[in-house]
Amino acid sequence: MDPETRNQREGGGPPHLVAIDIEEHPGGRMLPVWFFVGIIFLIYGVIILITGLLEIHHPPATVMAAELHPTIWWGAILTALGGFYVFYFGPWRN
Amino acid sequence: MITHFLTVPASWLLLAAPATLSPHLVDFAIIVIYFLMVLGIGFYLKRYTKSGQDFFLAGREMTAWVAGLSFMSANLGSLELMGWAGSAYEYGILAAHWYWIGAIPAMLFLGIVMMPFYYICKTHSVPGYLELRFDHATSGLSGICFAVMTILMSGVNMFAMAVVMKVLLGWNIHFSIWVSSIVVGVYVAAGGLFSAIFNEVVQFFLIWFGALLIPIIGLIESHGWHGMVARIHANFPGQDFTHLWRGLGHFNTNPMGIHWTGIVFGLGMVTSMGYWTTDFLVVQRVMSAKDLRAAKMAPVIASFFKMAVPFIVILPGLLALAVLPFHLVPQSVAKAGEYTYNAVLPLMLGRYCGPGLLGLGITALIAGFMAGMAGNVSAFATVWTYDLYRPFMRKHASDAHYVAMGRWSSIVGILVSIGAAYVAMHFASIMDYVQALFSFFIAPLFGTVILGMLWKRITSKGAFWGLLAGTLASITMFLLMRFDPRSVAVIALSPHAKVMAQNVYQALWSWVVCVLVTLIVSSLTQPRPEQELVGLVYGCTDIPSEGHYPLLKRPIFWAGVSFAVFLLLQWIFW
Repeated sequence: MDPETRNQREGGGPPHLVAIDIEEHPGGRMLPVWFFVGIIFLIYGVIILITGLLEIHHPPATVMAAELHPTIWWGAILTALGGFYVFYFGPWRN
Repeated sequence: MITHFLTVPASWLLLAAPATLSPHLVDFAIIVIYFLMVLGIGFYLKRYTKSGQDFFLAGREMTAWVAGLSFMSANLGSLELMGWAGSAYEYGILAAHWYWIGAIPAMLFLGIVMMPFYYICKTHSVPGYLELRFDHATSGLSGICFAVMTILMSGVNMFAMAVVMKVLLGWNIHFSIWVSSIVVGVYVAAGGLFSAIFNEVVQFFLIWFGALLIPIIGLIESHGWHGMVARIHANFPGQDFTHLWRGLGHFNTNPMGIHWTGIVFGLGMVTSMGYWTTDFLVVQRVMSAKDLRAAKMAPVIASFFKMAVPFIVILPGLLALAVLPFHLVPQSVAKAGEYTYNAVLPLMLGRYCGPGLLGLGITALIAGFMAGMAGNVSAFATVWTYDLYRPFMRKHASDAHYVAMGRWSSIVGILVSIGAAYVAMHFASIMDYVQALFSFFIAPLFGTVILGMLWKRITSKGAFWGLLAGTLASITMFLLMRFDPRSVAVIALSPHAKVMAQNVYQALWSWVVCVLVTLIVSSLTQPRPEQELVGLVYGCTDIPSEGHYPLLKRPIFWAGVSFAVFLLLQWIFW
C-alpha cells in the first residue's frame, strides 16, 4: 500500500478515496470471514441434523421438550445458514 | 449401529466423574472440530500478517460489521455468559442493567464522540493515546497496570474455565488449561489481531446459535413471559425478580441492595464508560476498522447485539427461577450435591439440549472463553510492544522486529497467564481480588482519558497524579470494605449493599478522586501549547468528515435508533 493511501485510511482523506479492499492484500486474495462462519455452521448443521433424524423415534428421555425435536430443526437451520454462507462467500464467487 | 456410536456416553474420555452434563461422542466430535477450525483459520491468516499494522491492527482493513462483531465477542467471554446467567438467578432482571444502561450509552458515546480521536491520532492503543496527549509517565503507568492486569485476568479466567470444565464435564484441570491455551497461543501468534478478530466473529455466531435454544425452549416450557413470571412468584413469594427500576427507590426493596443513583451514576456514567471507552481490549477491535465511518459504526452495530444478549444470558437465569425443581445457592454456602448460581447456564443447557445440541452449547462456552483469552493476549502483545518495549527499551527498531516481538510476547503472555492460572489454583481468593482491581483501575483511567480528550487545559502532571490518586483510592476502598464491613455503609451508602453494589460505588468515588486531583494539579501547572494538541483534544481538532452518506448509512442515525430501542426496553421492563 502506498503511503498516501495509508495516510488517507488513517483519517486523512475523504472516505470515498479510501479504496480499501481486503482482497487487494499482498498476501493474495483473502477469503472473507463469513466463509469460515459458513463452513463451521454447515458441518455442525449436518452432524446435528443427522443425530436428530437418527433419534427421531426415541428422543433422549432426560431432555425436557425433546418431543419438539429441537435437534432436527436446529440442525436444519444451521445447515441452511451455513450452506448459504459457503455458497455466497466461497472462493468460487467473484 | 451408527445410532449406538453417536449416543454412547463418552465416559472413557472423562478423567473424573460424576459431572453435571453427560456428553456423547457426537458432542466431543463437535468440540474437536471447533478446535481444528480455529487453528486452521490462524494458519490461513499467517501469510497475511507481515507488517506491524497487520499484526497489531489487523491491517486496519476491517469493515464496520467485522469490527463490531469482534468488539462484541471479545466482551462475551464464557465466564461472562455463565456469571451473568448466575447473577440473573441471584438478582433477577436487575442483572440486565449491566447490558443496557451499563453498556449502551457508553458504546454509543465511544462510537460517536471518542472514536474520532482514537482513530485520527493513529495510535495503536489507549496508553498510546495518553503518551501523545500527555507524556511517558502517564502512558507508562497505565501501560504497566494494563499489561499486568490483562495477563492476570487472562490467567484467572483460564483457571475459572478449567474449573467449569471439571464441574460440567469432569475434565482434568491441567488438560483444560494447557489444551485451550496452546490453541489460543498458536492462532494469535500466527495471525495476530487478524486471527483474533476472524475467530471472534466465528465465535460470536457459535455463542448465539449455541445458547439461543435455551430461552426459546424455556419460554415454550413455561408458557411465555407471563407464565414464567407467575411461576417465579409461586417459587419465590414476596420477591421481585422481574422489574428493572420499580424496586430501586430504596436499598432494601430489591435483591441487590442498590439504589437507582448507584445504577445511573456509578454504573451508567463511570463503570460502563470506563470499560467501554478506555479498556483497550475492546477499543483495539474498533481501531482495526478500515475508515472513520466504519470505526464510528462498529460500536453502534455492536450496541444492538449487546442489547439482545440478555435474551441468551439473563432470560435463562430467570427461566431457571421458574422451572428448576430445586433452588441454587451461593458458592460460599454450597454443600455436596447442591448447585451454585454459576451452574445455571449449564444446568439449563443439560435440561433442553440432547446429543449434538449439547456439544454445540459446550462449544459456545469454550468459544466464549477462547475469544476472551485471545482478546487479552492480543491486547497485551500490543501494549507490551508499542507502549512499554518501544518507548522504554528499544526505540528505533524495524517494523519486522516489532512484529517478531509481538509474536513472542503473545507466546510469553500465554505462558505467564498459565502461571497466573496455577497461582489462582492455590490461592482461590485471588480471583476476586484480580477482577476487582481490574475494574477499579478502569474507572480512574476513564477520568484521565475523558478530561484529556475534552479539555485542553489538563496538564501532564495533573493527568499522572490524578490517575495515580484515583487508582490508589479505589484499592484503598476495596481493602476497607473487605476487611472492615462497617465501612460498606459509608462507601456504598447502605449496609445492605451486596458486592455488586459495592463495586459500583467504589468505581464512582475513585473516578471522582481522579477527576478532582487532575483538576487541582492541572490548575497549578502549565498546560501544553495549543498547537501540540491538534488531533488529540476536542476544540483543537477538526474532525474529518466521514463523507456524504445518505441518512441510513450514517453512524449518528443508527446511534439514535439504538438509543431509542434502549429507552423502549427500560419502559417495557420498568
